[in-house]
Amino acid sequence: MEFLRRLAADVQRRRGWILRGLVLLGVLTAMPRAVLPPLELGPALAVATRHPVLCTHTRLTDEVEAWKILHTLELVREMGATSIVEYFPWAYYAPGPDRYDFGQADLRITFAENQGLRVVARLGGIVPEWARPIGADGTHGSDTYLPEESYEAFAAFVGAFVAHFDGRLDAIIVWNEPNVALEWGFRRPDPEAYTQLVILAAERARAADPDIVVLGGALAPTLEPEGSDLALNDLVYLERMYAAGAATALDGLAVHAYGLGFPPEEPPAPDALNFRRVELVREVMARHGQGEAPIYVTEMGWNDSPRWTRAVRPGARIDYTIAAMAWAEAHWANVPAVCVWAFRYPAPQHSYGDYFTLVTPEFVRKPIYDALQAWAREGVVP
Amino acid sequence: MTRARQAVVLAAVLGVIAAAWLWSTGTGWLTPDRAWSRIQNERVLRVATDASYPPFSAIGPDGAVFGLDVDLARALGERLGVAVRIENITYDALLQAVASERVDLVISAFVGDLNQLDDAAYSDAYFVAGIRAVAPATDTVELDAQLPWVWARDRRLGVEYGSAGDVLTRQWSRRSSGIEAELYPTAAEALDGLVAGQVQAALVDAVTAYAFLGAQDGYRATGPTLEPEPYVVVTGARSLRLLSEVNRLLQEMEADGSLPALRERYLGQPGE
Repeated sequence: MEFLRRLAADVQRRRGWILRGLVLLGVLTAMPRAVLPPLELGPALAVATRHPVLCTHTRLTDEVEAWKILHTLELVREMGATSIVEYFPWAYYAPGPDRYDFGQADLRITFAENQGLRVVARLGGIVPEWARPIGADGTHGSDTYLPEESYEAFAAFVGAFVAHFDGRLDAIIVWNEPNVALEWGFRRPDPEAYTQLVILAAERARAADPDIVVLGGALAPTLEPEGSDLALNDLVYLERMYAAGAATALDGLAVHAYGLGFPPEEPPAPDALNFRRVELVREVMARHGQGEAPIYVTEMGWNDSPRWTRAVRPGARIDYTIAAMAWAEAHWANVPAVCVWAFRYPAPQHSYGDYFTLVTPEFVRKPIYDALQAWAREGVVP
Repeated sequence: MTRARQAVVLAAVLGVIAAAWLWSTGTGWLTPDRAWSRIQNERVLRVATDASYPPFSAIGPDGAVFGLDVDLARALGERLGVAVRIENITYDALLQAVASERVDLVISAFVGDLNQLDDAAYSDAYFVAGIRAVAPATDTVELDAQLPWVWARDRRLGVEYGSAGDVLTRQWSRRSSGIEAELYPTAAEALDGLVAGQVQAALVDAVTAYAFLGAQDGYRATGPTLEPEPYVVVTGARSLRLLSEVNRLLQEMEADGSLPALRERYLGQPGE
């Protein structure tokens, strides 16, 4: 007690200094952080290209600096791509139920428009903690876990996003690869549940903008059978989506078309994963009255890692990518965009994933970028 | 209360506050290493690897997982005196597997990412991947990593079209005149070009370089690994005891020659 009495007396004696310290702390805390001056955009530009089908999936989601966002989009335009797919995770924009902050999304959409690029917005992915119940392990669990009771909240986010961008989006994609457990909260994929989500999201999107194009989330190309805990065959999943009523909600589909080790002309087959698997997706759509609906190939490409078993040589990657674009133009109707995954990552992944990109995080253009640019802008085939 | 006793009480109070703070930050300093405890109790080390990356981890014709990473996992288990269970998990799910304690370690040609320290902790490197410059052994001029274009402009380079080596030479040619690169369809053909005397050096990925150097006399890797990518063993962020044991064993294996021998077995040369 004696010690505490002395401590109190010390505090009393030094209260002037303590007060001054607190004031200084308050001032330092309140001081504005050093910020870069805002970028001033020049006049709106247009894309010069001979192949408007060329598109790329940018990955600006975690890009912090505005100049890097703008420079990425400048390089996309200079390459001759007319559109981009960009990812907008729910958790980044919804700090609470019905509370939204679209600031970073505004930046990307505005910069893309300035560069003359159309934007396909991929919505979903990361579920905010407030929309995920705490599980038995005392945590909110996987950030891709979307419980059914939060479907309405996600649909509200989709509606708010579409309303906010009011006619400035080419299309929206509802979720991504729901046929793999990794993207579905590490649960067994459930096409009927996903279809329910799509129907709710589409309703909200159209209430906000009746003209918005709503695309089903692209399915991961996979041969996993029914009953697998990891994934479900994309064609089987799609059939079950249509059986559950997806056609009423969707204007078209987003599709992923990776070539893996095969050239783009490799014929499609139900038991093969290759670029032309898109044609099998089209057959499923046609069986359900959507044979003329648009397909956006929102991820495609080959990987040129020197070690990965599913990669090809860098030269083959260049040839295959351009041949795939040409194949899509020549043979596929109602495919407005074929988007190379991925344009650039904000930071290196230090894995085979880095060998999917066209430009390094440091903005070094890879030879495939130059080849695509020569093809798109001058018609040069390597 | 004397001043000395006051100081003791104050130190105790500060100690409790510091302990509470460390606990709340979740750094793991005061939390038990559950992975290590489980390994000790069950005598099994669970290791995840993505078996799509030879020669580090791949599936053989018999369906079994094999490779440098797999042998490294078995060696660590042997030295810990426990059995090893290998799980083949796709790369994208590896970190989740260790963060959720489904496995104890990830050994999968994995390069640590400082942005993932909430989920993972990384060991010392057991191999450094990247790009190696290969030149005739008679060429004694060493590539300087700070000024590689100075070395490069004196010799015609062979690179695989579109590869990381191709990107590097394009970057160097913006820094210096006189950089000449011959493009080949594959890295192996760039090395063939070197042997045939078409070029004076080749820039290829480290694994391809070591395989070549292990099979071909009269050539050497010059300078350090360019664009280095250190491969590490991954533990959960709070498995600090396990991490410390892994680091101790890696040092032990490096010192007794078993880790260089493992690299030589799969890569052709001990490498870095």
